[in-house]
Amino acid sequence: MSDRRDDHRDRLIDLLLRLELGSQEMPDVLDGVLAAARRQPRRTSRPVLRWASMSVAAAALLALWVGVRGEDEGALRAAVVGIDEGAVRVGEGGESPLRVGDRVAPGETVRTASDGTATLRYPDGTTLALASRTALALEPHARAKRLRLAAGELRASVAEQPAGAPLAIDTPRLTATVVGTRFALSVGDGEAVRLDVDEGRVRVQAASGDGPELAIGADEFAQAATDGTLVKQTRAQRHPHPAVLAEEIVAAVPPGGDMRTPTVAQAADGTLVAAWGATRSEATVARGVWIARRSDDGWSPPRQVDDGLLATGERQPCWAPVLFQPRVRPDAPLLLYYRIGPDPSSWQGAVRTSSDGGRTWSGRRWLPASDDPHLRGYGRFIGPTKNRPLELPDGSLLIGSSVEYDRFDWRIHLERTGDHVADFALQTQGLPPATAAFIQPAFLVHSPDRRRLQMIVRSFFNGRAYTSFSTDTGRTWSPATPVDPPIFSAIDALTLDDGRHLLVGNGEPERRSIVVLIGPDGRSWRRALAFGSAADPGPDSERDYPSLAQDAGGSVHLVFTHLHRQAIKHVVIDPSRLTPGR
Amino acid sequence: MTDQELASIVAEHQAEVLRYLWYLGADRSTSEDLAQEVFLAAYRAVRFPDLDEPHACRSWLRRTARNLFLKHCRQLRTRREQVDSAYLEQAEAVWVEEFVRDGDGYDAIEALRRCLDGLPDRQRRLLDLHYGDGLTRQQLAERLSQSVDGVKTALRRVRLELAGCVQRRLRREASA
Repeated sequence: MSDRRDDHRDRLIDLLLRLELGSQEMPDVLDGVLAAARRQPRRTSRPVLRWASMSVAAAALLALWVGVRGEDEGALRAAVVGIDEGAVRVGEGGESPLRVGDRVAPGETVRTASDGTATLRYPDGTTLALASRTALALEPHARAKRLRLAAGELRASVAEQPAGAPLAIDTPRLTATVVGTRFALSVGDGEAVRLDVDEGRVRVQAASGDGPELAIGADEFAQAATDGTLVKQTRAQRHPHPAVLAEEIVAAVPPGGDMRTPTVAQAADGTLVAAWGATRSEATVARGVWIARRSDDGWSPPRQVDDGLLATGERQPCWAPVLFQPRVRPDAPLLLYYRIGPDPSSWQGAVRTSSDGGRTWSGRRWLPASDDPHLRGYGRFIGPTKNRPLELPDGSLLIGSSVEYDRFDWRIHLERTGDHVADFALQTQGLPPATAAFIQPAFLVHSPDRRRLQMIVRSFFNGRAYTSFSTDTGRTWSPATPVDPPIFSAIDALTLDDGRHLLVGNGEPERRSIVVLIGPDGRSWRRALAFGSAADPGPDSERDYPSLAQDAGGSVHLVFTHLHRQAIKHVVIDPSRLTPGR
Repeated sequence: MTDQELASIVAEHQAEVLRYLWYLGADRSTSEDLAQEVFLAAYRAVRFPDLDEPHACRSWLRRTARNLFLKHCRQLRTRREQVDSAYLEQAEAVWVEEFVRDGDGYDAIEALRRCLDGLPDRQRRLLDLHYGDGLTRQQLAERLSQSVDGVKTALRRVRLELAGCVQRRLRREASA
């Protein structure tokens, strides 16, 4: 490896010397590029409408063509029934903001803003919900609904279509043909495409027209990689345990995407909200913090809440969001803590709040500055690193946090905040000795006044979960001991309303399975549930970053990433049916 | 992307794309052909980064240049060293970490100038003859009464010394 690095160095300096000492002229390719661009036939053999470069003549022809469609025209127009934060219509008249009540006609494109979403509905009831940063063109066709998804994600609920006129959606890599069904379709980095079917059946074929047509049924999905290959896979079968009430996908991205550290919370108005971070995505536009909201129809399309853009103009990854709904003070908004920065050794803590169940969010607010030596690499409070804060009886929050300077200098600390956003205090004393490089504390509660607490942390040294106890609301802690049976990697902990405790983490260091442990006292644990198994073939079976929350009705919500961080799964668990020892 | 946007991207980034392709090992005419293809791909792309984010644009253009160069090498199969995606990823890492860093590479060029000033006369003369006067390694060998391999090794040694010097300077400046 190092030899090749030297080769690259050698060539780099060689190039710089040629430019610096030599008289090498820089060629100019501008004319060549422009000439080729003008000659260029646009992709695909299908008559595809390109909004960016449609000539005036073509636009006039199209207007004429659409104009003579008569009755079908109305059926092929979609009404805008929902707009959040902004979307535009791009058509022959240029670009204009889209409003609820507008009609979008074939030949026009809808583009959602970086934090916007839009919902369109056809007269037959077919509904299309567009995620943030999505471009969807309604293409002209005599009888059928023809769409082109150029980027982003679409959730569709398609009413039964007329015989011989199925709804078809072109993407850069595949064409999906639908008679009537519910599904999600997304175009990711490098134009990789993923189609998830919830109900009914969707036929897909590679955009090149090569290869067979595949039928994708309920709980199946199709992926088209950037090299054009099309594969069909089955989503995990329904979990057999009676405590598992539902298993569903919150969001999924095509290969190459990277979704991390999902978090879930029930907002004060009862809405279930999930959030996650996109960090290493090659397409920097997809980075950021994303959320989805659960309604009776399922999860909404993902919406970007923060794009990681800094005042310097740089766009940095967003990490480890934590959603938390305080309950003690009425009207306390839903909190979304997260971090922005190139990596965990220098990320910067930030928070946003929502008072309407995650529909709209406040601006980004940085957590307060600190000159404490423990936070030297950060310069400000970090906020909760992965796990929910603990709300104390006075409404203040006890936040489990940690620093990651390098791999042998991982240490936890606690942050306390009265107002949740601006007034923070740091606690670095009284904590369990850092015997095994701990991070990401989670809390369990052993007394209603919250004086007797338990902390679960994750160790860098062996990946295992460790635990420690406090009898003074977290001022002092006992030495940490390993949790038995062992669980690994990212963990979370939850004290249920009935006083029992749950612990969740990976069942093995390879992160194949997620296991849920249950216990009466926080000391003895039994395995209650598992998702996946250590024997699952990898790396696509990798499951990461489990996170828990209990809703007001008592159901437990578990979210984690699946398929090597390409999907976020949501599991609803009835804890009354959860008995140890399974 | 409109024709106008395309023109502004080409004007702004063509020098870097060409330099990058030369660095990856493409010869002059191949670099020009591939650079054209890179910008045409940007023109066709449905997801080109925001134009006001030069950092993201650059990294998109470099990635596309790498992919096209890889395809080109696979078609030709003439290069002696094996060009595969791991090799190109490492090339990209060196380019980003040791050259452009957070900016446009100007700091590295400035550092190289200082390092050139500090070179011993014999080494500096070797570079001037090769890069400045355009003497081939064969001509250099004759002029300096050395073997061609000896000249090759000497040039590589100077370049790696310069690479080390540039990195030390950049690190010093970064920590200053």
